[in-house]
Amino acid sequence: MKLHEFVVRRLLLLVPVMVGVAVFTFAIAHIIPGDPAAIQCGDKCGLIVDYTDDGDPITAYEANRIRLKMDDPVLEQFWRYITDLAEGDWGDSLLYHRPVVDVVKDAAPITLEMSFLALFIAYPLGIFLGIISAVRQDRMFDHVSRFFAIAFVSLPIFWFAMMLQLYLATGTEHGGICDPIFGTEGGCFPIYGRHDPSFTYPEDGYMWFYPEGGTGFHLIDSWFVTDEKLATLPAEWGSNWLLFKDTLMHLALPCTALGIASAGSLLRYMRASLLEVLHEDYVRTARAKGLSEFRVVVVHACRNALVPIVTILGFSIGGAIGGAVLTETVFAFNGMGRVAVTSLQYLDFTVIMGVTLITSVIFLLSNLIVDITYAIIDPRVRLE
Amino acid sequence: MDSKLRALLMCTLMIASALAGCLGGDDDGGDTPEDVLGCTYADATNYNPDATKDDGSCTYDEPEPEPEPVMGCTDSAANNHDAAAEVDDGSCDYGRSQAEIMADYAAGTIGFEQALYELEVSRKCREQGSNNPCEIVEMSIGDASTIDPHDAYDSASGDVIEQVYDTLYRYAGDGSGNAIIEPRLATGYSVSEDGLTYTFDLRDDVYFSNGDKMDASDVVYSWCRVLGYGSPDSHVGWILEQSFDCNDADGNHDDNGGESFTVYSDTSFSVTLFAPSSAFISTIAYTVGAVINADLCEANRVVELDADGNVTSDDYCHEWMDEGPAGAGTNAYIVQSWVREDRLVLTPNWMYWEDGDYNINRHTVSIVTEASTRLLAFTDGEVDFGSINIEDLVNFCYIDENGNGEFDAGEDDALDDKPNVASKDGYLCSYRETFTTTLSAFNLNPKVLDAGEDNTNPGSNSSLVINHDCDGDGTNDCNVMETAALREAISYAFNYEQHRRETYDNSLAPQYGPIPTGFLFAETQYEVFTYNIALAEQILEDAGFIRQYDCASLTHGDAPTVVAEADRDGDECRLPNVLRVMANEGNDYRIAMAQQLEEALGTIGVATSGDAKPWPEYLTMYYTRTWDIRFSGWAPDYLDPDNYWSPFAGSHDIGGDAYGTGYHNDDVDAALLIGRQSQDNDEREQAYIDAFAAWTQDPNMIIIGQYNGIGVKHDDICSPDWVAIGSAHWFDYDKLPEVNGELVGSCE
Repeated sequence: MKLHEFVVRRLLLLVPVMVGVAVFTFAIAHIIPGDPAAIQCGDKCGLIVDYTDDGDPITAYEANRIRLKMDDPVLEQFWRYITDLAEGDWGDSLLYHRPVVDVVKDAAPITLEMSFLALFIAYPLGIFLGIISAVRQDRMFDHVSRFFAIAFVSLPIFWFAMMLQLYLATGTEHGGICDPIFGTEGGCFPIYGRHDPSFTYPEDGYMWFYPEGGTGFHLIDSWFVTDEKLATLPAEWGSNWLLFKDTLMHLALPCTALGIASAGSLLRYMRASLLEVLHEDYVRTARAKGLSEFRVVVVHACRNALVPIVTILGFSIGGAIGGAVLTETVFAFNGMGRVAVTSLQYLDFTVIMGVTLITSVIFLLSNLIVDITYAIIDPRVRLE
Repeated sequence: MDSKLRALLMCTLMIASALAGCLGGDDDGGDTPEDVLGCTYADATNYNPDATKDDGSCTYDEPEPEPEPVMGCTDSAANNHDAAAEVDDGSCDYGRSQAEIMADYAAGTIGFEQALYELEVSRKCREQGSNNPCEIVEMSIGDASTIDPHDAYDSASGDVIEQVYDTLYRYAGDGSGNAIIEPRLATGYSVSEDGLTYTFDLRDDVYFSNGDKMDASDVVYSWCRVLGYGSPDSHVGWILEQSFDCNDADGNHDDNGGESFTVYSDTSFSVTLFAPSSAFISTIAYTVGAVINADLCEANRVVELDADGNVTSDDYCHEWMDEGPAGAGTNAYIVQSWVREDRLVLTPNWMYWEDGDYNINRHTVSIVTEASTRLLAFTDGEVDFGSINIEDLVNFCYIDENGNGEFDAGEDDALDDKPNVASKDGYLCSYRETFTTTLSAFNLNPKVLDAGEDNTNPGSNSSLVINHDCDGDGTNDCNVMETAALREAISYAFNYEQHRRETYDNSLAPQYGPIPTGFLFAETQYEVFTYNIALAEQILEDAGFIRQYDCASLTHGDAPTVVAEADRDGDECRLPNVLRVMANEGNDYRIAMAQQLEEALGTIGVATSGDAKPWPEYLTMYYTRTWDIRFSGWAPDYLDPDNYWSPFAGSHDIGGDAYGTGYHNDDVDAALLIGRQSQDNDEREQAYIDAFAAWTQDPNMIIIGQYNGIGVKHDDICSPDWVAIGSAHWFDYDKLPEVNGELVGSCE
């Protein structure tokens, strides 16, 4: 099978999978206990807000059920949901008062940017330390790195995130360690948020200076802000680099928190994989040929040891998106994780289903990419 | 030989040394001819480098006088900014005064853009300091749901709406903890003799943020929009709907007022109510009474018609109003940007009518749900306000137990004496009583779910529990909860002090009736119910609720087994059913209160069941009325006692009974109607005294207390008097600049 046939086939398979996910999420949303109509009015649900044509009072709760069409048969609700979905209408959010598509469109790049950057930290770090650990098997470095690897995997992300905030984002008087070392004031990094609170000053519109139809990844979009728009910004953000830097500084701690756990597990995988390869005959042959140890390890052993690591990438992306729920909450990023949590609290079913759908797509696509990459780097694997 | 040579050498050296000493000059004598006299100091103007001895002739230049600093206006924002100026001499010119500019704008001498520019120059905050004194950053737990004032019923939305939109009147603090109503867009009003028609006079100097002038037709349009649109998301419209309609003679809705409204001029109009209402001014002071730009709303209104020209949908410009667009409001700020659940930024509406300059040019609200992040950011100074949790207040506040004005070790162990809270360095802590009440309601018409019904489905069928003979004819015709004596007894079985002090860790202030302290006519109430289990038992005994039922036989609705009189051992139960005490999982306060009440009732022979229910089941019980006692809460909508009494204790007949408990007391209703309709304060006061007296004989709820708390802020923030209703108005706030680590100025 040719590569493009494989890709098309996998993409077509997405359709039934998505339908399955839609059915599943709709069912879950309607099975879990809770009543959005009641959540909306809370203690004031009993207030009489209207009267029927016959003069009977309608309470706030009853009015909500009517407005949300909750008394329609479930099958009718499901059919409406599926047909709207097919037409690109994901419904409107009760909480955000916007189309769900827009909510997801705004939130997804935030989560993906953070997750990708976290993996960008995790992979080189985990692989590098894994190699060193394997090469220095059972020596002090190996013991120490394995200890930290287990610790990083075991530590709850939210705890690690809070520790990063405390030590790297606050001044000395509050426990921060940065200021005396780097001469900063109030820590090296911001405590929360995707941007500085004063970022939009003084013009109107949130991030109006970013290009319309941009990627939503501000690390990228920041380089495409025009000079004309840059000229209107205060000096502290008046260049592409400064915009990029602000985004990067705000991403540093959440990405570290998110990436460090992945780095720990990657270290373990890489170490085990490399140790296995180092005992292969061809490595012994390479050594016998008199190649330097560096060349033996990096060129011959690592190349093959990395193959299983690629497989993990798909799961890592899923894990990072899952971990983003906590990270986004701690660092106040309004990405998909936080949107999902908030929507669950308010039983905003349309958003819950939208986020689930888009997360499924991301997960499926990332695994597709992994499969393709796997086939490319390991010729023994066939696309069949 | 060597020793001889060494001795000779030594002798030669000694002789040479002695001779060398004799050859030097005699310094003890006068000047020698070889000395050159002159000035030997190099910094002197007549320094003589050849002089070997100073003769005291040195002369020096006069020191250069310190250059005078260049005085002038150093503020680059001023019209007469002097770039060379080093010291500000107070001569900065910020343009014309607000009054002059607005007078010219009103006369048409200058256009909107020019006026806006001049107003900004004239009014903007210019303070310099390391703490960004012209900006306030706030962290909030929840975001606004909408900035359309006519469909917003939550406090987070109200907090923004009150910055952007004005009402004719608004709530304010009187400085002593009480709430008052103060005029805003209205200058005054009169009421017709029958109490039905209110005629308002409006300010003549109010403009929307886009420069349009606000007049009476905007007010009428705004109020009728509330009724026409119907606030489908929030149902807040009921607050106005209870008072008037906007129908024409044919009964059709009229956006411009219909028969109830009359516009006399740009600054005067009247509205006729369905019935007299002493709370009317208070209701229109709620954000739902906000005035919007009628012309802009009409321009942005989306109306869809069918083929026959009938209206199929009408958004009354809600989509446009949803995010608080520029030009829609008249208050001090406009919404610069809003990313839902993330960040909202307010910047000045330079056209704002109130006199004075801005102290805060920018207000940012970040939504941060994680408490530890808020705490850290607030402590580290990244934000000015942080929505600090109660348990974290000890980081900033303490109780000055020994009264020495200093924070001593251990004084922050417990902030239990909240009214005497003191502040640690860098912070300002203040005690605040809110108007949020916590209570427990009694259901007079409890039901049980029909067989096979789902206990998580709010639409489940249920049936009334009839198990008591209320009219004394020998047959059961009501539920025991309809008996006033039973409810009175339950009220005495609740341990108020324990829960205010311990369960709520002193976060509840005593409240003896529906009206909280600080509210109008709160003094009409006094303490009646206290924890007195013996009295509770005696009341039950006196009312005929004797121990006669086999406790094991009791259910919520089925008939009980009566134990023969001869077989009774005193452990029997008094009521024919088990009372269901509702609390929801996750609310430890309610769970603890329910447990105490159940235990207390158990000791006097009243069987209860009350496991904490998951929220869905809790709601199902509420909507299917399958409960007997329910812990709940209530926050005020508008500043009038009627908003507290009627929903709680007024019957359905007078528009009360918000919890659907079936409570009906004619005396209470009659008194509440007088309190609601009378324009005479003395008469109203007496009405609430009467209502309270009648209600204590026939209570329909346990009123536990009103929330109090401690507000904390950084000590550079100056705020107006605390008011327990409504929101902070950022135009009235100030932030002292911090220069060289010291705050400049004071909040006094």
